[in-house]
Amino acid sequence: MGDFYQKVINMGLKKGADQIELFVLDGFTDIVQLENNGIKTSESKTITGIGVRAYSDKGLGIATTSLLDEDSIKEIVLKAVKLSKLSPPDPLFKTLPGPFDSYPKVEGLFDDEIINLPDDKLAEMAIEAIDCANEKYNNVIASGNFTRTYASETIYNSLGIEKSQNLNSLSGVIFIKAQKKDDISTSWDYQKTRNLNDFKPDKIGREAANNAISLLGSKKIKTTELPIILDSRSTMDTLSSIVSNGLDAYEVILGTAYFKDHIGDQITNEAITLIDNPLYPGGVGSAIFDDEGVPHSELTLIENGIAKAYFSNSFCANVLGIRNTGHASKTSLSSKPHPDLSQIQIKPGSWSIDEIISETKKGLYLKDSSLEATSGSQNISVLVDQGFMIKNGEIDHPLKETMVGTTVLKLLKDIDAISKETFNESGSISPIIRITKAKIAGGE
Amino acid sequence: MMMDKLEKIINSIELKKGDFVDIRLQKGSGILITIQNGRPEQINYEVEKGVGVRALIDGGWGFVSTVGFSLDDIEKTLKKAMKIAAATAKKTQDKGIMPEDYVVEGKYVAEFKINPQDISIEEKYKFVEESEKVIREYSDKIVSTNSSMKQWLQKEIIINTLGTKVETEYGNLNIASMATSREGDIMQNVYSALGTTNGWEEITKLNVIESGTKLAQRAIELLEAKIPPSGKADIVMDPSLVGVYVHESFGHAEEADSVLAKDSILEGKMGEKIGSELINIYDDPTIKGLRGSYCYDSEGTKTCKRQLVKEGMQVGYLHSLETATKMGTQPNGAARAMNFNSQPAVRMGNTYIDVGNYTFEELLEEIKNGVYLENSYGGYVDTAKGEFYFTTQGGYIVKNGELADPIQNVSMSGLCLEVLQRTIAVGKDLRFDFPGSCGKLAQWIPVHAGGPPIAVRDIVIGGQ
Repeated sequence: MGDFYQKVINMGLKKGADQIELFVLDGFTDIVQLENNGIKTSESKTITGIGVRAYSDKGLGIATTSLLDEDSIKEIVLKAVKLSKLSPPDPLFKTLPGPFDSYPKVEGLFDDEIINLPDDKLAEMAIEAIDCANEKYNNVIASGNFTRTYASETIYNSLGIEKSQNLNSLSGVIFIKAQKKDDISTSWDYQKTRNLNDFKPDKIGREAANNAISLLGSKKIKTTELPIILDSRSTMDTLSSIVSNGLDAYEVILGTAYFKDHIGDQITNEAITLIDNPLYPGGVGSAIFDDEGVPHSELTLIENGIAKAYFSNSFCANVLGIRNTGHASKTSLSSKPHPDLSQIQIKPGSWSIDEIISETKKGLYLKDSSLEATSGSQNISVLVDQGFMIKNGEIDHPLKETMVGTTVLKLLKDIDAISKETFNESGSISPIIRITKAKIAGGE
Repeated sequence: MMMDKLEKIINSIELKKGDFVDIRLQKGSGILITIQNGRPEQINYEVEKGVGVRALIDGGWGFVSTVGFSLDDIEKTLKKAMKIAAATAKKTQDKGIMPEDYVVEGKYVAEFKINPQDISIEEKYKFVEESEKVIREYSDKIVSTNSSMKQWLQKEIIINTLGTKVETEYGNLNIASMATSREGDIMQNVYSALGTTNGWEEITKLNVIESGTKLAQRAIELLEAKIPPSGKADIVMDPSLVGVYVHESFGHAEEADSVLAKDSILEGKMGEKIGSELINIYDDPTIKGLRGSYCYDSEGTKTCKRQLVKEGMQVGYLHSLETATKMGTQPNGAARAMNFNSQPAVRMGNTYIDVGNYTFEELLEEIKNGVYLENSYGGYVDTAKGEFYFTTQGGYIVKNGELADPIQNVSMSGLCLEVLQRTIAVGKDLRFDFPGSCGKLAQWIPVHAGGPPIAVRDIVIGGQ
């Protein structure tokens, strides 16, 4: 097929395009949907299609089809070229990337055992998770899904990029509703991996049930100001959401990045060092190249609390005159690639988790929550959905009708403890952190 | 005729009593134009074409999709769907069931006064360009702007083993504008959107200078706005927030698949009083022109206006063929699928709280002191626990029954049914101000929601 794709690129160039890129996706996803402690349905879906970007005199046309037959592909390339000629020029666009001499080797992106799973194995793993969720408790209801995905991505462009990678993954999520008389709590657990041997459906089920049971008996608290401890998932989600805006080169161009013009500045506790590492072996965020075919590499974003770099794609790198860090990401086949993070890894600090909790006389402990800013602002105001009250250095009771309020800059400034223990979830690595204070809106 | 060919395939299958198969062909195509900060961000054409086959064998469900409309591929897909359904049945305790004799034949073709497909890309681009320019040029403090238009046309053919044969065609037109203002580290973000299943005539009614100027003004005013209070407060919610509340917090709990899955706070509440007598709630996909309007759902069932709450009493659920059969009632056309690659699931269309008799001024007077929340950002709800969380773009302090200082973005949270129970007054002006895309089971479906403004006591609000 490679020759055919080169031919259609040449056809588009002959029709007047200056540059063309093809993103070809071919794969499938198998899903077992769970409901009410049982299997609801099994699905097998196609994830096939081609996205075309064509530039003519700096005008961009994008066209996408789910069909991969030759006639459909020719038609969609011609459509992209036609749209590129209708589009006014983007004065900031310079060029598509490439070609590149070499690409990194990333181990563990593909596991034959996942592709060769027997037909009913996914359903068996889902049932194992449900059984484990119910083994200790008779008041939990499990739902969720187990998914196996295979995707072959190939990127061609008229500058000479022609590169493929095969990725697969296995994931499971279990949601639990636990009930004790009128008291209802909900929680979950999940895992996504690229390696069958790492996958633990029993653990997903047990953890999800334990989480939900631990949230029964939640209480309202008064409006006040308190320290907050974020568990490793909450730390990962919160800091990722801040960095994903704050150091995004495209947001810098738009003028909306939190840390525009702050490279080299101290933005948080000097014990925070945060890198993006798409080369980590077997990581679910790992890949050989980004969604423009640019080789991946490791990037330090924050070092000892200092903002070190923006993450970029080819467009942003050319506009800002910085290195293309290979972070182009398409949210769908039809979307234009914009910078996005691959796989965040946060270095450990010096506190033990026990110390962080025991030295917090009164505060909140958040599990698997994200203190994410409201879109386009620095304001953070979020519901505590999976949270606990800490009293006298111990986790005391779960919370309800409680919200946390702060801002991005205050939160970063107020990080005062980072755990030396870190948690590695298929390549995303994070410690636990504490924030000295935030506004707590309580329902009592 | 494709329908005849599909009928042959359907008729060739041998099924036992209680088994069921449906085939859904779908072709969607559309264009998206986006302008950011004065630059053309993208002109994007997309086409998707494929088939989704669903099979219920021995009480187990299987679903398989394929791209294209090849009859050979459809037959292979059908066989695979039946095979995995039979395998699923062996591991399913709560067996699926479908009606034995529910047959619909029908056809719906989208009607536009001005067909969006007849409008050139250049003219569409010009509209988006004007929308964005007004906002960008309003002030130097507007640091980022984004205006977009998405036009989508979708055709579906639905055929099943009960005898249903339905063909549909829907258009959807969506425009949105966003502005971010910035002064140092303070940033405020506002947006407005319009969604319709009508044609280009809706666009010609718009005054982009007026709407763009209002949006930009709001972004600038919020830079100076006060930090919102935290804690319990009496509030007035504007129609967009009422829309997001009634959709997210209440409507999802009315979806009968959630009820059957024991994932809804409304399980077992039929006929019970769940809110103030001032509250009447409907979901009505038959209102012409709204974003969540349609005639037949993705199972081929003709839809209808559904009353969900009558004077505070729970009176109805939203149903698919399966949930209606399991609950022993009639389907009401709420099974919708995003595309061929997704199974139909129970979804809302246009959800709203019906009008009361208070003017806006009387609502403020009713709470006397509290907060007016306006322009919803969206939200989240846990239907099993019945807890919600919504964010607004801003609002005002209410002092002595009048709007006082503006406040920056603020969130509200609480228990879903408490809002219905604590509603003390309902406004008289119904507006559908929440055109959205609703997410469930990884499917995004066009919906609309709204209501009049309402006054509610004792809600937890929080700011930064």
